[in-house]
Amino acid sequence: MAKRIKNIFLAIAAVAAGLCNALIGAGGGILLSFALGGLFSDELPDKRDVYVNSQAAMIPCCILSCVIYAYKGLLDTSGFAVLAIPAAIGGALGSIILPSIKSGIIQLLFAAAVIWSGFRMMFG
Amino acid sequence: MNDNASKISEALISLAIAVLSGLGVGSGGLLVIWLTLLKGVSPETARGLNLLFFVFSASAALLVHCTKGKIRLGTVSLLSALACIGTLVGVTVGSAIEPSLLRKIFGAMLILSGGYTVFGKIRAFVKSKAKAHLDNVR
Repeated sequence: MAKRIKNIFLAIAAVAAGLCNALIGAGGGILLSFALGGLFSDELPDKRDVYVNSQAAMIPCCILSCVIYAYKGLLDTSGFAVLAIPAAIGGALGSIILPSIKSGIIQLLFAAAVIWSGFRMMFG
Repeated sequence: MNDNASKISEALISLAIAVLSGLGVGSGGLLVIWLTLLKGVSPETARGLNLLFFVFSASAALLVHCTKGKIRLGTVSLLSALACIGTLVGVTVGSAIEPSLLRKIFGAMLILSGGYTVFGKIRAFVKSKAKAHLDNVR
């Protein structure tokens, strides 16, 4: 596939990821990971790099979603203090151990998470 | 369970979910399920907390990845900008689309794509085993 067409598909996937984040509140990162990994497997052969870059791309989008949720009065942060510090420590810990875990294992974990999320969305 | 023990268990569960998030596996579903089914939080509030949780865990992970030079800043910036446009479009047209229908369509898409990955892995495993067996026979 020509690079220009790949870029167009990736751009559509990125907009769709933001759309999912706003409408469903989840799934955007998964969508972007699949698009980035599928379209640019030659440039990003290591799936771990795909997940890392997709995750990074979703951060501003999630911040924007948080602001919108807060504006709509749907962001109740009263119980979040207990979760915030472990969230930051756990995130850093996961990223530190990521290089020592085989890409194939991460791929299977990711696929399991994707299937599980799919069932949750359909029947949850 | 007393209040302190409850807070410690919450922090540990949060830590475990964040580690998965740091691995890039995607763990938002786990947090939402834990908050809604076990903590009795409403789905809307859980979704908001899940987004905030992701911002904390992914930002910490991003700092580590940045030091290792794993982030393609140009690509990530462009994808972020496009995703933000998608979010704004989603907020604008959100009320016109039936969310349950959208959830079902997206859910089916996820099951198919996840299943495709697992199928590919199984096929590759069977192929490598068959090749090893043939090599042994020869």
